[in-house]
Amino acid sequence: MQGNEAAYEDVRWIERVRTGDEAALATLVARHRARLIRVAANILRDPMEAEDVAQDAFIRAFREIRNLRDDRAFSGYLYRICVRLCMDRLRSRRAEPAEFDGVVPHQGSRVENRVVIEKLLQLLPPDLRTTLVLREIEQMSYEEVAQAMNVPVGTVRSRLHTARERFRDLWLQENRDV
Amino acid sequence: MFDWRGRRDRKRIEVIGRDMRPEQRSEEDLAFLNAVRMKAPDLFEAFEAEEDAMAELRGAALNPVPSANFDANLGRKLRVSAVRDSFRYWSPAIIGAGVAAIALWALLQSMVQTSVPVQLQQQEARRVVFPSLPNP
Repeated sequence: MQGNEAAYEDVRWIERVRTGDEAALATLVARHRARLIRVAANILRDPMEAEDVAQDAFIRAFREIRNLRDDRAFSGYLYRICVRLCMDRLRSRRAEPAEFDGVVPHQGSRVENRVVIEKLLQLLPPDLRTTLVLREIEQMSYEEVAQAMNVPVGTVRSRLHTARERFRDLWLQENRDV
Repeated sequence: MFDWRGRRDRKRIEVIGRDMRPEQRSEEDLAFLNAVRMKAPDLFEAFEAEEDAMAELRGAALNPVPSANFDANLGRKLRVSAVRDSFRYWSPAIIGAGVAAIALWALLQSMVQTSVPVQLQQQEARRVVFPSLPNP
């Protein structure tokens, strides 16, 4: 999730958080807040819900901070919690039908493209959608995606292959319909 | 160089598309893709469509700025969580103490109730022993 230097920097703050230092806790939040919200927002496509998920991820990570075996892995641990929470929300959302019938036909403008992309992402299962977002939007390496999703690297490769193909087909279909 | 029906070449196209960003592709990769375009336009079309779809996906990335009250909300949630955790930690002890208190109370009650008939019997006995003493 981050370089070695940043991981060592985290270790210093984590040690202080364990002693009850609230300023260290605020610093640790500030270090990861923006990226965590961005990851959640791109998976969920909802910035408000993303903030909620990011806060829950911080709470869970801080609750377990005493039991962390390797403090350098804090960032990976935090993102793993965040991704898991996002996937839980996506799964619970899937029961509700997506309401996109009123969307203006795709004309190619930036805002319309964004709406179409959101619609298409909703059509992908949570695991494929998350893999696609982490790899293509967040530009994480395969190892980072595997760590965040708690699956082997081979699974990430095959999911990404399927996700890209499905997304391409949906995209072509969407453009053909227009 | 290129056998478009070959499994190996299909795999290579897949790897170029999936694992490499356009700027990471070598001259050799680009020459290979050019050969694909010439000899297997349908395959190249699929590759290009996937590239376009991914570019659109990346273009639709969200980059929200954390709201001004993010830290305050997180602080409040952390405090609530700490209280909940401490309650969770102490609740078995509190419930245990409650159960023990009820058991003790029940035990004391039963002891009091078993001692009442003995007193009654003693009172009866007194009545029996002194039933008809004449008044002096």
